Amino acid sequence: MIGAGMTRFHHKIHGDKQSRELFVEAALEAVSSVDNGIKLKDLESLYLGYFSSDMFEKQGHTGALIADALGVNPIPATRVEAACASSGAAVNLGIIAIASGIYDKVLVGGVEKMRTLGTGEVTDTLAMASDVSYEAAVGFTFPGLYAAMAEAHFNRYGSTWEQLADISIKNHDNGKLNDKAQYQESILEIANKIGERKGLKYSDPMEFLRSDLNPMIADPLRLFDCCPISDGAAAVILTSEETAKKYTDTPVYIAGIGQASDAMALHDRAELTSLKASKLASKQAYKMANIKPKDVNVACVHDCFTIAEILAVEDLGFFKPGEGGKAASEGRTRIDGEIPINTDGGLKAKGHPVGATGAGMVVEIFKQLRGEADERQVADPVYGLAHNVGATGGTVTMQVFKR
Amino acid sequence: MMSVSGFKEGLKVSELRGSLCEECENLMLPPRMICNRCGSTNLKEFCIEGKGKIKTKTVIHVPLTKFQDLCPYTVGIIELDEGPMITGMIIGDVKNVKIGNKVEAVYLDEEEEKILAFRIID
Repeated sequence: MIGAGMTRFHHKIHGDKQSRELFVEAALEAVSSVDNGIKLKDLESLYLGYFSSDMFEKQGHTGALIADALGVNPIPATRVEAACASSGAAVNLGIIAIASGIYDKVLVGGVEKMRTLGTGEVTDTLAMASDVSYEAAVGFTFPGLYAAMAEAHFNRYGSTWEQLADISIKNHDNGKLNDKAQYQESILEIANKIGERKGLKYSDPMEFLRSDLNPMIADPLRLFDCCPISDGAAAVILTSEETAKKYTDTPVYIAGIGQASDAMALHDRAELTSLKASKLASKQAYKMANIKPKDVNVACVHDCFTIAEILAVEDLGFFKPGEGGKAASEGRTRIDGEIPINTDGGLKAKGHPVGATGAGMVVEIFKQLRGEADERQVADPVYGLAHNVGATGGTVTMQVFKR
Repeated sequence: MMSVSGFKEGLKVSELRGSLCEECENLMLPPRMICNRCGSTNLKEFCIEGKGKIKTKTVIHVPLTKFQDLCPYTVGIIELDEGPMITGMIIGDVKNVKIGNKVEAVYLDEEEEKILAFRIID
């Protein structure tokens, strides 16, 4: 990996900008991050994650559309759709393309333009990533499916909503340190901003999170357990190992990748308290990298809902099943903790433009492993990973990176 | 037998149609065209009675647009007495609903199609 860039993820600032404009902005930043310089024209193939240009922009064929906007014709341009793991899958395809020897320099990334629709229509569109015929058909929303997993986790392990809230607080604290994050404020700051309008003052974020100002979305998940709706794009430039050294003295190496699929509907899974595809994808990636979970120094994991971060830190082997929530409450996953999780703010605070999220995680790991993460820099990391989940785990992708 | 279409046809006549693998006796709900355990295509239709217990549940407060009029409503995953799990709406005394509650299948009218739901019976 020789370059990486992204737009800020945000629900307002991008206004009427289309996906092509967002992705061009991210790609130009990736190009400018290459130490010895590179031109977009030098790249040989594009793999682009985009979940639902069809619903959000009433536009299909977005691989070619965005290649056109980048001015990189006639290189092959392929859109990859795997729900929220669309760009995680695109990154893996770029890596496999280079490993195959067919291409040497590849642009990967993702984009989602979501704020063309209102919350109701966004909820409908996201539910399309569930098994629509069986899950959305009886009224399950996407937050509802994660809420059902949270209930099962609470019931089996005695984990609590307060642990979920601690994850949200931690990710907002991290987002505050990231100028690309949608929310760069702590929950306490947001609480007092919202409270001011109602003549309320908070000294404890929990007090706000327990109040009606944090409404229930799908029991037990409240608004601040859910990632926001966002527009954004992220882009990463990959090359073979020999070529990378021509472009920079400090490339980030891909040590291992993994990917797995699972039954679409939760009712077809043996367990509701973990994601089998996360376990399998991480096992593959650790094995290829020849490391163990304890060797990882920084991780971006898929926290579309707070419960998802608990499932992830357990499935990836950082903590035992049932102990992920407790670990967050004890501060073990903070930037200065034993395994910093979601230093960029996670999906919760950084934002979740669905198709851009997996590549956005890779941008963060690129910065962390090069020591370029400013105030949120983890001390001297060697290994970092990105873990991207499609919907409720029908797809999971992983990459392990080494500096 | 078709999978999704067969399931939906079953709902119309208040039946929970699954499939039973003739090779490995795997019971699947919803029905499938290929056994998800042994890969056999030698499957036959098998009707499930519709009694079971709640494996997990949630109350939806921000609904799909189609379900706006029902909000808030309860949905969940039911483990049926025969073994398989299925997703459905949950009705009855939902204020006190708990994981483990016993339920039975009911078929709610919704415009042209039926919605699978489970009524709490204890």
